[in-house]
Amino acid sequence: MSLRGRGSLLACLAAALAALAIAPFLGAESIAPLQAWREYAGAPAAEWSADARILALRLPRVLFGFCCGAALAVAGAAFQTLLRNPLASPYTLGVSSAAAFGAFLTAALAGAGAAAMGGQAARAVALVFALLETAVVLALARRSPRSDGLILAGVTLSFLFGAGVVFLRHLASPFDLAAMERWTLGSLDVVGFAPLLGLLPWLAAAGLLLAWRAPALDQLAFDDDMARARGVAVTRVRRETVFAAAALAAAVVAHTGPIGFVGLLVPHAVRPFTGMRHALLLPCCALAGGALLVAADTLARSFSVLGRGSELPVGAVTAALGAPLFLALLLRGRAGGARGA
Amino acid sequence: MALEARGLCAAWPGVGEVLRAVTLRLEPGTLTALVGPNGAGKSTLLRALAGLLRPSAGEAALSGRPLQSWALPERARQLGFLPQEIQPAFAFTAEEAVALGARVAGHARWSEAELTTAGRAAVARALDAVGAGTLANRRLDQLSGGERRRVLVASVLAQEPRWLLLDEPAAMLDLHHQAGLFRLLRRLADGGLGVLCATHDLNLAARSAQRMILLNGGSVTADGPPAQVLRDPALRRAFAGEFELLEDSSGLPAVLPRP
Repeated sequence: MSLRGRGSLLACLAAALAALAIAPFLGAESIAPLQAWREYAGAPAAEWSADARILALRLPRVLFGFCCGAALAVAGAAFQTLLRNPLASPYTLGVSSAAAFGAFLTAALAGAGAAAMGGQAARAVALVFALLETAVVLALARRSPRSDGLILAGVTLSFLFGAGVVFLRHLASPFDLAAMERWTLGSLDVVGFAPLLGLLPWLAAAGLLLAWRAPALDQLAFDDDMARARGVAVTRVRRETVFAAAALAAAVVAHTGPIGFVGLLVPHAVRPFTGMRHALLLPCCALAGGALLVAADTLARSFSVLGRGSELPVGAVTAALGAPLFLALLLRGRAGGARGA
Repeated sequence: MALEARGLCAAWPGVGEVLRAVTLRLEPGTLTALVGPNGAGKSTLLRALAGLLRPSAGEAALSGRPLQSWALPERARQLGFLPQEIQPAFAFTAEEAVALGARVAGHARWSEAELTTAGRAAVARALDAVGAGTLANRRLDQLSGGERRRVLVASVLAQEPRWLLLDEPAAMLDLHHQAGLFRLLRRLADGGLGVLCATHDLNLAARSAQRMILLNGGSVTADGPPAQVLRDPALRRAFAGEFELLEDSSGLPAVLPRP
């Protein structure tokens, strides 16, 4: 690996390890790190102090957040390449609208909306809707003679599900509406390791497929015709990788609601250092995206210090952090090496 | 080991027939210039011969086998194709762009992200061949049109194919680099490659190529040694007669546009 490539990977790895190591010990309640860790790792749960119990609550959330951030950043990088659009995000093809529709529909049908929103059923339905939506987008794009059929189909379906969401919100009780609003802001509020374990198979499968197709993605990022002439089965690779990237985004959104900016920002921040080789770009995005979301969530958790008793939505933090960072990248002219930037 | 078009027809939706039963046989070791007016079907023919276009009738074949029946990676090692224009969505450096071609030649390690030592040498060689060695670390979107064109030619050369199908590789090149590029193509052809090159520079093509094919309205209307094609009445018809035919000091015909 080139010196620059190795440096990028090491820097991202260091950021990821630092975030994972520090974040569990930060938050609204300050805990004594070493003692909490010693108890958590060594003593039976019954003998834990308050610090160790807090650590036990935070650890799964930090790991879950890391995986979500990694998945969103990788999905964002893949979509930017696949749609040949530096502004593409994991949600450009409508995954989050479809997931929101699925989650809200479950809440509406289940009756007890607020409780249902965070439940297993809502997650499953949201995931199913997001994946179905992607499949429909791909099928529509296949029938379109236009080269931008994919993005047009995605944006159209996104609007369609957006309309469905508006309809469901219109019908919802004020109590349910508040839960929907909360869902829309994105949250990493998980209890225990179950959500993480539910997420991992999707991440592993989609991640492996994208890793396997990384060389073909390099060619696609350059030019479709040249990629085809260089032996890439362009249509098939695009279909597979769009679905894999959408599955990454769908699995995350179904669990957390839409968390913005990670998928848009991270690839742009990483690309100037890694170049356009996806075999390096994607792992760096995963590490940096995980680190960024863990950092943002740590901030979100810490803000309950302000006394409102409830923490900030992590989506608000990523947007608040992400927008100025993205602007800084643009103004420095290195926004992911986007053409003309 | 020939590249053939057999009764090749192609049509674009809304445009109609672009190629009308084109039949031709290209031999390796020959630099062939493909000339003709705008919209004659040159790019479509090149794309069909590169296997990027499914013909509406007839077929393109390499070594007697229809292109559609070749495995894609196998075909990519045979045929190098340069489209008329490309628009990368991201800022590749010249070196990265050429490396994408070198991968096809097998100059890459795990996951193709890293070139081997031989691969890096092949990239440098390809860039040097088009006089773009100093541009290696520059971003494509910050190069001039002609510089970018040369880097793209280098990226096809780095593919180390047996055939080069180039759509106006000399467009936007200055005189010096035009001449250099055609000298290079001729040298490659003399070394055994088959080269088919669409161009609007009839004079340079006539002085470099061994064969010239005139395409007009989707059909081959003249085909032979360049000196013969330039004198062919079909050339006058193709370009509405708006040129004078002169002769240079060596007796080769030269075309001078008439204002």
